Amino acid sequence: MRSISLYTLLIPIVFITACEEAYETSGKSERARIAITSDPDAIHPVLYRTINAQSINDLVFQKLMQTDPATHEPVPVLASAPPTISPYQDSLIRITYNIKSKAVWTDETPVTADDVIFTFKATMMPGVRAEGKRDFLRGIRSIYADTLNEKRVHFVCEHNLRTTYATGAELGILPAHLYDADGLIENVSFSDIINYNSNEDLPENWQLFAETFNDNKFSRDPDFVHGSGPYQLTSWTSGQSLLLTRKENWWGKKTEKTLCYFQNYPIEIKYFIIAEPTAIIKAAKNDQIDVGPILRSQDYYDLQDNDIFLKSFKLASTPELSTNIILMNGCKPILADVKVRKALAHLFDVQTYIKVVQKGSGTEVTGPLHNTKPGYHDGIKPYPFDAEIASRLLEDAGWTDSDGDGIRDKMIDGVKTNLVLEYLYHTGHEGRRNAGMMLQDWARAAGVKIEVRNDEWLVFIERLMAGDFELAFFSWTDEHAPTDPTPVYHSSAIENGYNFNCYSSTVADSLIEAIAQAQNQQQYQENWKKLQEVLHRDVPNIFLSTNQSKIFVSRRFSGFAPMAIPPGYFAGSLKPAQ
Amino acid sequence: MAWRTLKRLLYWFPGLLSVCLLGFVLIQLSPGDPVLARLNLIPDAVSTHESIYETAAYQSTRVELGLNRAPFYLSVQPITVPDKLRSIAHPGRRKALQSLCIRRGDSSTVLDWYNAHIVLRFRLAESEPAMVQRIASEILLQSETEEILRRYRLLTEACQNAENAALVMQAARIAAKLNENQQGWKSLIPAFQWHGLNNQFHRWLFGDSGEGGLIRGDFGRSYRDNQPVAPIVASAFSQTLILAIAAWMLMFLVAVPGGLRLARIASPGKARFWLHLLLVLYSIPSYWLGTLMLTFLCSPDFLNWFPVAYKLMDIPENTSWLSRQLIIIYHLILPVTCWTAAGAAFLAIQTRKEAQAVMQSKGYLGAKARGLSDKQLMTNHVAPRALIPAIGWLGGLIPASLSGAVAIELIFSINGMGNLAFQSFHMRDYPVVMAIILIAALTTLIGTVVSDLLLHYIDPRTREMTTK
Repeated sequence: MRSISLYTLLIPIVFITACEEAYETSGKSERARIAITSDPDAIHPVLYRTINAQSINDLVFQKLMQTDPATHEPVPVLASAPPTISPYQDSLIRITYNIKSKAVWTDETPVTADDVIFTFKATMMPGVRAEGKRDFLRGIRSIYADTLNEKRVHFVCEHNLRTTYATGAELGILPAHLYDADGLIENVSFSDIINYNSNEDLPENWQLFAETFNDNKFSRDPDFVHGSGPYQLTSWTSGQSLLLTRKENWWGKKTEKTLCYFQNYPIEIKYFIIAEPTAIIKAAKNDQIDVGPILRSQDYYDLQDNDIFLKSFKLASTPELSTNIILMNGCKPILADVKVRKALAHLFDVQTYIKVVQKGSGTEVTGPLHNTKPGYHDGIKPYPFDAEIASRLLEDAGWTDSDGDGIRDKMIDGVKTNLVLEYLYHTGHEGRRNAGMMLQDWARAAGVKIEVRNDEWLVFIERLMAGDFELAFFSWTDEHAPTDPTPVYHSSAIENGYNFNCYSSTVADSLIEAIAQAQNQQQYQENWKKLQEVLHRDVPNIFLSTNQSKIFVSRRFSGFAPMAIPPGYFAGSLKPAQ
Repeated sequence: MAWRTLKRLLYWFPGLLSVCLLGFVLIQLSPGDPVLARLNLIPDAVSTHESIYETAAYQSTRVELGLNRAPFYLSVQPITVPDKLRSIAHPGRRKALQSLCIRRGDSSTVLDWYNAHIVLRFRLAESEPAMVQRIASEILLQSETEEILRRYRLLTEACQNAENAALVMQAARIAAKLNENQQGWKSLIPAFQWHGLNNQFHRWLFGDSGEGGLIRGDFGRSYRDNQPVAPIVASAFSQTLILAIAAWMLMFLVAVPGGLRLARIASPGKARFWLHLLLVLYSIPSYWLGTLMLTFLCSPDFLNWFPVAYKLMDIPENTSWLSRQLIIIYHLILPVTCWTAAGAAFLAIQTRKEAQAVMQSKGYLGAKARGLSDKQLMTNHVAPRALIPAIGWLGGLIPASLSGAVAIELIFSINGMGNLAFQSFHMRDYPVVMAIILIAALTTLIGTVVSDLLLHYIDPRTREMTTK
């Protein structure tokens, strides 16, 4: 029996020794091991939909222009210079891009205007699953290659900022000879596709193209996924890991690496899909991963005090283009009155929310636009947290505590209605639940009863879309493109979009339309500032704060380029420490 | 025994079919739209000027997933609710119309009004401002006739074009009929509707146009990424099976000898101590034990002895076979221990109880009186009987392993069936969910047959019963 006990003790030691040796020999010096919480849906610049797929797609595919994370301005990537814009006929404009002469695909074939045209044609092709990308491209009327220069492409489009941005920075470019090897749409023009009458039968070659293009192999199979970017998809096991390998003869290798999109420091980038946040942190502590996904606020602040963790990892917090709001459904009789909405804005202490829930890592905002974006109105003062002002506003609106039960009430359509509101958040967000509990406490002082409820994400979003809610915590993630408020605040978007607040104002509608059609930055910013004033006055929702992406990075890397959109960094910029 | 086994196998088909049907009904009743999950609702994902339910993306995805079909061959609903309502993709409108039909007791008036209003909406969209269109849209979400009529009055006032105002009044007159001659009592009469073979369940079971379907071994494609379901489930099943086999082996190797040893402890105090310890171990939830292990045994903050995540296992190509196996085992130690703990404790308690019963039997006492050694007594008399609860338990152990794996697999990041089931429910990936339900049912049946066969060979009493 004694001998068995000895073996029992020895076995783990043998295992541990064997495994440690294995890790030592795995050559991790220039490999980046990144944890992500779910699989990307596609490695395909036209078909991907999720935000975590975007950051991986940017390593494999390149756009003509891309936003410089340092300046928030579009800068040339595949294009050799910013586009030239010239007037065209009928108030349209022509935008011309020249593609870098050295830019080639993995098989050394040059990137040409035909590839750009193909990518835009494929995106607009009926049957291709790229519906989400089409809205931005609607202002483009035609695209054609220069007859004298195969590397020059012209777009004819409407004159507005959004469309101009979309021609360069919306789509990663695909090689036409690999994604349409049979030339099924080679002779079809962009105009033919956008002018296609949906009542007619789809031509056979179009239908065949859409089926082929949608095939999973172009989104997942390393033999079929090819871009002009610095990395190549090498393997992908769903739910487990995804490996990108650096292209050794990449065309952009000798390009100045000041712009992050030309940085390709790690030899390999391996993404591990781990859903459980605690396991990610433990794995990092065990030196099994180098970079984590966005951390929960509490984890971030716990790790700040963990000296052992900080010996191996750096913590970083980068501004994220997202804003937190509390939606108020103006279609509900109680919230239809602006005084009630304004009173609720006075009853939420945003500063305490930032301090307690966000642990100080947010900035108070007074409108829907992120405070780092051009056009944000600094001059608007937030509604002060003041229960007395709130009480006065509620009394003005006719809400009094007639029965002395501590909750205000009012006769609405002949029925005595208590001022009771349901606050909804989606399951899994402790911070949002805490925000609801805080509002519950603060509102009680003014005679408003708040009931905090949660729903699973899909049920939550369905309730918002059906207008079946009163108050709901929500976070909008913006993008680098000029922000179009139409889908969120235009009255046409109440049923047909994301105007969950049921907000409707003719003044706001005309300003929103002016923003969408703005031809230059001045018009865009002026109208945005006016719109923020109107929204501040009408209080369609309570504007709270911005967020920060909080991540950890191994000290094996000396630095990285922070990004304003998740995951908060560009993986190619993870530079191994010397 | 062969006939008995064959009979058991014959019972499988109705059993499996019932489980599939039950799973299918539960899926139909669960909230959450798989189309929205598939489209991954983000602001850019839909056109900004039309309802998501009206977009080509939503409509085509709904058709692609077969969700525009009736759920089953037969449906039962109030006689006043027409089948046509299912073709309305917008849940808010569908719900409002259903409610109107039930109250009104006459679907034809409701549908007449709905169609008239849709025509009106198109007209208003061409020539009226956004505010007017908004009111027209909101009307479709109302289920109270009075509210509909009130909004029509608002709409008439808001219209800028006199012709449009006249059309609104015309639609309002049709809506007013909803209040006349109400026959809500008719909604109490159930209507059985036969939908034929063009339904979701039939498609899943028999496929479409002679292709696919469970009957041909095709579980369909995942809603999430359009990948075939079979390889996804097979990959997850293989991971869980490795874990399960390791756990069962550990359970039997530790629990059965442990239980037998416990039965032989003479001191009541000592026996009580071990029994209490086992009960404590049995009561610890596996997710809590897993979290404790993760915190204290996988972290440089305490003891950094074990790896955290199975899927992070990184074996270099030039690793020898033995090292490779050792690395795999090293990664399995914690999840397997965690998974085994409660089961092993339970099994040890059961084995002890059974062994004690045998040790008090006349047969055992007789054998002892005949001078058999302790080892012979344990091997020939106690152990075979004490194994009976363990074998009986085996039938339920296999499916329990699949379902109980959820917490363990999530904590230790193992891509097994539990993890897959959790993710698939979350994403409303119903083809994968149905495949998991089917496999769980199948493993239960296999487990029951295996344990029956084993019992047949080990326990003479069951052999006698079969013979009789």
